[in-house]
Amino acid sequence: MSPARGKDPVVLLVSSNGAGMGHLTRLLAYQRRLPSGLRPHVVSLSQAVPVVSTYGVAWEYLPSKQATGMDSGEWRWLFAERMVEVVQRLRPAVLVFDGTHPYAGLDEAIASSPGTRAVWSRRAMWKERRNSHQLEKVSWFDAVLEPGDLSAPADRGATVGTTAHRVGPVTLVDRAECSERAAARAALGLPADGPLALVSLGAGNINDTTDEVGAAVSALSARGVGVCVTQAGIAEQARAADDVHLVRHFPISEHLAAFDVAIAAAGYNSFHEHLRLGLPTLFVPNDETSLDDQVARAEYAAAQGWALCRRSLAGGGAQAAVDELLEHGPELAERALAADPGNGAADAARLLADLALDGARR
Amino acid sequence: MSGVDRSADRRQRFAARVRRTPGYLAVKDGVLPRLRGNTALTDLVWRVFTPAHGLGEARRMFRSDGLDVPDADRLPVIAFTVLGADDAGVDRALRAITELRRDTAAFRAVLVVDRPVLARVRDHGIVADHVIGEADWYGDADAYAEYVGRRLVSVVQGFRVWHLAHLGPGGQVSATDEQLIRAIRGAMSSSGAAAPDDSPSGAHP
Repeated sequence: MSPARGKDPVVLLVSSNGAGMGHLTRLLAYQRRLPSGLRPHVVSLSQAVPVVSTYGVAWEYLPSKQATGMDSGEWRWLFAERMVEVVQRLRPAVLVFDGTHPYAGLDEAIASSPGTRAVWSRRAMWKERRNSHQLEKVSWFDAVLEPGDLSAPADRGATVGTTAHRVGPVTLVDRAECSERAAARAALGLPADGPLALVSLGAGNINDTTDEVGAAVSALSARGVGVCVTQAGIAEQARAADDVHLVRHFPISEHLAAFDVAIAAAGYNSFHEHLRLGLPTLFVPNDETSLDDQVARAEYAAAQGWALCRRSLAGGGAQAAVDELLEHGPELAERALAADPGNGAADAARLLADLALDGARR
Repeated sequence: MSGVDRSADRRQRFAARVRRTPGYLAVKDGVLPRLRGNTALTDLVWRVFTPAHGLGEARRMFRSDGLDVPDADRLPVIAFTVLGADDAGVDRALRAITELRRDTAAFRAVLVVDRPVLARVRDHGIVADHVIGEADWYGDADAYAEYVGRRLVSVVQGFRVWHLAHLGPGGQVSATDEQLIRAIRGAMSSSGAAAPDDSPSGAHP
């Protein structure tokens, strides 16, 4: 955690507790592009929050409902009490909440600091007819910031047509910041030679070809492609003879050049990182999410010729899909790069900085 | 909103509708506080219903990972603090708490840390909470002690903690705290809560 001091206006970045690192990563994408003279501070419900210290950002942790096992009513009391304390202690010029479900109590915290401008950072692509009642909470905020989605034309969710500051797709790193293949492999501790695939499909059984992860690994192995996974639990299932590597690095996006191809779910961050950074990808969207419409996102990308998409690999089509990825993946990735509108994170940071400096002047 | 189930969503909407009902504020701010504050009524309720109270009576949702005992939701919550410790101190604290849970199977645990060890705490089946470390504090130095105090009040209130044990930088449980914790199970049995099977082997680290 950074021991930042001084009287610089605070930009308080609050992340909800989604699966994975999505919310934190997006907030870091904004934070990295804030001008000097502002003091970012992260409050997160994610146990992965210490990772933000990599970027020299101060952080604190607030246990989520899931982490405590508490019931909703009791946890909301805790959340409200903690957030009010944080806001009154820091008196932020801007508070940015990244999530699709602003928790009760956030409104109380915002109201407790009249000088604070509040921003709801809210990605789109919600599943149709889901979560629309959350949109009423826009009244808690001074502005809504919507990180763009390359598949926005396929969006059928409740946020379509609502008022928001819309920026381009947001990724933590830009292509110019990424390492070259050899350096990336060295940084991740991977073999210098030979084809490697990043497989990022959530939890699974590597030895069961009726499982998405198992089917992907089997099909890649059959073509002599080494497999890299990000979950220790999956890597531990590998037999000694398997060419399976565990990669643990944040942000892995800066080393995507280590991989020749990827098979991945279509969550906001990995989807945009892979397309914006040129990694040939076969998307297998996770349709079990409560809100994120990964199917629409991945199918749109496939229809545009930016990537491949399969609803499942476990039904027997894995080998054909992997063969198509190995043969045509690079040209699809080139097409995605050509369609890249640029990183929206800088525009988002500009909006936050303007609000912060405006708030500090008041 | 990953992780939010739809029935919770429905309950939330129902609660919001109730809060918008005419007369809601009058009941919440007027009637309920008067009922709660009425000593005669409270006395009458105790005489008529003699509500069960004490260890092991109230059921509460809270993580009880690794405690494979009946009625784990009746176990008290104990919060431990290990502040100013190095990694070795945190490890000692985790070992001590795990051992006490294994031996007694009598409490659910929160560990308050000021280091980036949240996942490690959770891996031990213990809920992690966090205060900013003194070295990372960027407010007035005098305000730090007040902040820690406020945060500990929040821990006790928010988690409805039955006992708060300060382990200190060494990560060791004091003899008096250990004495108290090892007495919980006996006190629970006498108040009617189910005890684990003969041995505390139901608890796993």
